[in-house]
Amino acid sequence: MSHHAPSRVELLQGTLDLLILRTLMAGPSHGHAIAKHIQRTSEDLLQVETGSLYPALHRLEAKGWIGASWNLSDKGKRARYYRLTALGRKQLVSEQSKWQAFSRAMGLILNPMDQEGQ
Amino acid sequence: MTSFFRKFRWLLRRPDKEAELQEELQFHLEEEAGERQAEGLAAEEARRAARRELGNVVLVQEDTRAVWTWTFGEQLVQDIRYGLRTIAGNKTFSAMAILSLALGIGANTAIFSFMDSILLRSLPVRDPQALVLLSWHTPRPEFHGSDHHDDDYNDPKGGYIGGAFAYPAFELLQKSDLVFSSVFGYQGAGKLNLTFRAQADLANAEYVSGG
Repeated sequence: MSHHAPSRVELLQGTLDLLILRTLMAGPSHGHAIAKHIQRTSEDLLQVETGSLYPALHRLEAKGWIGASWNLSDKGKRARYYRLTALGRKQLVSEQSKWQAFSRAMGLILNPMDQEGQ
Repeated sequence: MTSFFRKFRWLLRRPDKEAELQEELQFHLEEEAGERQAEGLAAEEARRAARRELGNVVLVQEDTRAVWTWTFGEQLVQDIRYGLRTIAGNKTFSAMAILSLALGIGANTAIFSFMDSILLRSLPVRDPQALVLLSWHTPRPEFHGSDHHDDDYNDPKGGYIGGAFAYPAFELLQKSDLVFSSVFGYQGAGKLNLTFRAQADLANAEYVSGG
């Protein structure tokens, strides 16, 4: 019964926004699909809690980074679809490069071996 | 759409958003239950598992609602701080802007109180709203006198209208007390030389009949 997931990683503060924006790059999507996409793409390492997903979606919408509209889902039910706005796309680009710089810096400090080996 | 309008419209839509959030979370539950069912759970069990996964629905709603209020307040504070920083950054410009605003408001208030006292306050007579100004209507311009007030004009429906009355007509109106309790006439007297405390000036004068 219980989900035998590989050990999960806690989402770092502020990374959920970036993950949502990145997921919406592929096209409009509803909340559930966004959560599932993040979970699947991260090989189940990241689990998006509903309790933080919806507040985050509404926060991003309020900031104008994503837009929302009601559309029919592939099963014919009314669902709230989110899409990336031009503002959100700009935000994504800048956040993404910030994050990449950060993770590179972390890698350099945590794995000094790679450099010492050179 | 500018960010101001986006914020404003967003604030107005608040009641709709409550219902939408409810529907959105309901959809999430159904999706999750459907997925569990596809994994092989029974319908009832799948629904329960989905509810467990979603956690406390009321709490999720509350957190999302808090985001609406918080984001609005946060952006408002940001805007105010930005405004204050801009003011502090250009001290001279801000001082000039504030000074001209203050002078503008002051001058407007002064002018308005003046206009208010002479134009808008009612006349210092008994029952001021019962006062009427009569006009003389005539089909032909040559039957028209002038009261030297330049208030004659062509009636768009035909004829001419002005403030000048034939004297017999005025007398008739004055004698009859059927409509008006009293009637008086006036006529422009042109400019007169007026001396007051040894100082002479030109003044506009009026001839006014007794009431």
